[in-house]
Amino acid sequence: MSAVFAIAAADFKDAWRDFRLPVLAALSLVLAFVAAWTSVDRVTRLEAERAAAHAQDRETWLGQGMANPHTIAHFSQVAMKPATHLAAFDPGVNAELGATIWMEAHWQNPANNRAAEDTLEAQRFADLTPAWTLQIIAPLVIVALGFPLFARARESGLWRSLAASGVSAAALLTAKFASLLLLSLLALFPLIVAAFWTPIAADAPAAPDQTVRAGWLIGLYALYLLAVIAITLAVSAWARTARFSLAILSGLIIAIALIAPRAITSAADLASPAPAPQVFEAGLREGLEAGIDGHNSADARAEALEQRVLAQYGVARVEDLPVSFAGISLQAGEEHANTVFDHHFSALYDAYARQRAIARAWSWISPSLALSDASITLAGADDIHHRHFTAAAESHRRTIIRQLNEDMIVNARGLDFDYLADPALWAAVPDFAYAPPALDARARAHVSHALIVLSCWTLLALLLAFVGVRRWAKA
Amino acid sequence: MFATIIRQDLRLLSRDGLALAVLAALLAALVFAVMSAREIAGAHAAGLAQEEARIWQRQAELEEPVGPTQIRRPATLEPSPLSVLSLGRTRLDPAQAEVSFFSRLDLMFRDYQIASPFALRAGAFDLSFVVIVIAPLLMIALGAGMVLSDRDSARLRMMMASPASPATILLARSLLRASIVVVPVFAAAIIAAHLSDRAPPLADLALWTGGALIYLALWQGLIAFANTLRVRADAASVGLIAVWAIWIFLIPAVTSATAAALHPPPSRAGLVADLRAAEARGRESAPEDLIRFMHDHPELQAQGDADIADWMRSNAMIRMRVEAALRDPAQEFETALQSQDAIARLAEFATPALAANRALADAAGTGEARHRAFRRQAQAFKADLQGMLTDAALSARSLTRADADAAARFAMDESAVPRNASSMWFWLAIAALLFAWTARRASRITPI
Repeated sequence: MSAVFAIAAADFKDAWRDFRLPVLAALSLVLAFVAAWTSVDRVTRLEAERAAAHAQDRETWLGQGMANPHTIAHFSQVAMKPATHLAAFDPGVNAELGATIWMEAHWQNPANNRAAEDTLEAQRFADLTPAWTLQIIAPLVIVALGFPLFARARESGLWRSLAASGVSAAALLTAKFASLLLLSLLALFPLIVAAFWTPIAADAPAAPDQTVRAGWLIGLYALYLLAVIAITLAVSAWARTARFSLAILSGLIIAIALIAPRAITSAADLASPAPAPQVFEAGLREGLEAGIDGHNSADARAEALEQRVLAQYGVARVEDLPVSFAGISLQAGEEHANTVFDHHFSALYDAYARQRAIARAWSWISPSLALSDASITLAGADDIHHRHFTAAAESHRRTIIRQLNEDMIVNARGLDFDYLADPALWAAVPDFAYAPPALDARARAHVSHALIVLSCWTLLALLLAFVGVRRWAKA
Repeated sequence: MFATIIRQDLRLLSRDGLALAVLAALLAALVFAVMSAREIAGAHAAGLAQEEARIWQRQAELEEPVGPTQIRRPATLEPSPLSVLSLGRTRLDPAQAEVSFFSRLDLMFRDYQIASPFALRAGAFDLSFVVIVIAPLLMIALGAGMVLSDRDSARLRMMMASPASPATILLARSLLRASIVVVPVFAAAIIAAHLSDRAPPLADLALWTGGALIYLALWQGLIAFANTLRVRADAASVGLIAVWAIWIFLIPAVTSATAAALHPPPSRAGLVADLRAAEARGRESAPEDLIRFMHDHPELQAQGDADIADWMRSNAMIRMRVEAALRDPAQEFETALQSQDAIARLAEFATPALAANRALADAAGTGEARHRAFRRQAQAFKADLQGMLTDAALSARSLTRADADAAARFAMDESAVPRNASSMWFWLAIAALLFAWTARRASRITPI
């Protein structure tokens, strides 16, 4: 035990004396401060703006005077996506997905008002958030602290003295592991504090299983940092010189944390592309016109509907109906359109999900990608959570439009679009209230995949480090 | 002597696993970048063309008399043939709108936001990415120890016994090692540009390659300079990688975070709520607005169906109200983004990565400036077209096919796209200084 302590103390002195530890700790302090400040400010501001805008929009909705329900259906409501506490830690793809959905009649809009459009190109290089600092900066710091731990001892001949003192390979590995862990904790302390503090300080709604999510995030990030420590030790144990160790580690970390995620994500985008917006919209229009199978044109549907309604009420002319045929026709149009929207939007979200599945499969070569994949899910800032939000908005859109069409069917007989409904009807339409979901099976699959990948990398790297140390000890 | 050193170094590199690995990695990255960007740029262009064709097809099918509300025009940001080099904001910013009597400023660009969020988040893997992020790393791997490792191993002493001066050795090796990265990059850029369906604009291609050359020359200058320092090769590698991380990640990250925190754009959600409130008010007050409007415009008495005229007038009244409500917030957005951009422009003098990113995207026609100019011009076109259509629409007057065909068409004025490459000139000057300083120091390189 004393040997372990002595080795750790010597490594600490080395890192302190050649300024690596103080410089890296200072860098980490600055980054932690900027990341925490800007992330808390962003989420708190966005959430306050959303809440105010939602309240204002509700007031506008309730303040509408007498009007035809279909005019109001076109105006409809807007669903605004709330941020969550954990999005302050990892904003995921929130900025690239829209934040508002206009729930108008006849048309399911994708979410728009993407925050990414209001950001500088510089942000596309790197987004300074607590998650990014732990995914990218922390490994570089660990490498800078740990690359010479074994390699320099061999270069300087200290290795022989250690071997002669009878320290076993396991004890030596334990000592170096403890050294690097301690050094990393000291250097990364500000980043770790910022990561804990940011979601707590952000004023935003919590997910129902916030504690579970936070627990998983802590566990996965701790495992990731352990994996990086193990990789650093393994490379240092096998490298002949400290320079070679640094070259390999820098290349490896840059490759797995920076290059591979972008390359894999691009490849996944090519393998399962989302349609061009114009193509997507053309598909929707064609579906609305011809039906999903292309054999049920709008004219034929209208004719069939009229015949069915006339038969149902036992009358020969539309004018003799006891209800508004315009209202029935509008609702029938909505119901047909809903099948078209479900078909196309499902295909769109399935394309995103396939991209993620492809990237996840390749994340075996990049623990950073595995971690970020799970991290955005746990932070509630991924496509799964966005799909939940869009589904809730779409369901609410259908409720609003149905309610307004039904009022028209019952009350607009003979008047149709000249009928004016009382403002009490607007108050009867529910407000859009959205709560983020708890983790479901799909989300848990992303988390467990990351856990397995990170565990395998950690174990494999530790094994390699152990073999490397023993090999040199024998030599 | 110079040629001999190059030949010797080439022999050395051809047996060096690291050099071969660098070349292989570079070639793989270039092939993937060209394929990936070509696919994305192709799909983008095809989508725009499909929508243009659909709108013109509908216009061709119009029958006389043509209602003014039937006239539609596409406003499209023509995809640049060089977008295959830098995708820039291709999939992020709107590039098309269908303009008609009904178009409203706030809803002109809509339903375009469905590109893969993961790909947008990760950023495009295009030639710009290879030039700005990957190439410097490979140049560091090849060049960080080109003289220093010989000094570390005492081989430099032997080399200096030959007639070649240290400066000649450094220059020859720098040229060779930089060429291993630069030549394939430029070959890939030229091939990719010519793979496009349309001929690439040569001036823009020259600007793109010039920008990339300045950026890579700066890196090579820095690497050569590091080789004149009295440090070990591994220390030089660490220093160069640290500079790489600071220029490529730290400064851009801190810049964007600070700019967004200091000059946050106004609330998008708040804007949506404000505009909807204006629309609701417009709907309520449309009858009174209409009376006032018709009082001011007696020449617009309905010639056709009075009901249709009333409906169109109400529509126009609401649009005018909403657009009036949009004026101030739009200005606030513009101001906030300009303030953020001013910070980014300053940061371009702190990191060549940001300067090169803007220069390459602007040269490829996919930068912020061209997209912003397109939005402004498309909005101005909308105002012009609606101005033409309004009189006819408000008086419910029908048009002939000839009138419809004569309606304005959108054409982007590319000369109005601002270009400012001052930061690249600054980095060119820094690169020149670095080379001069390196040459001065190289003559004093000692073998130990």
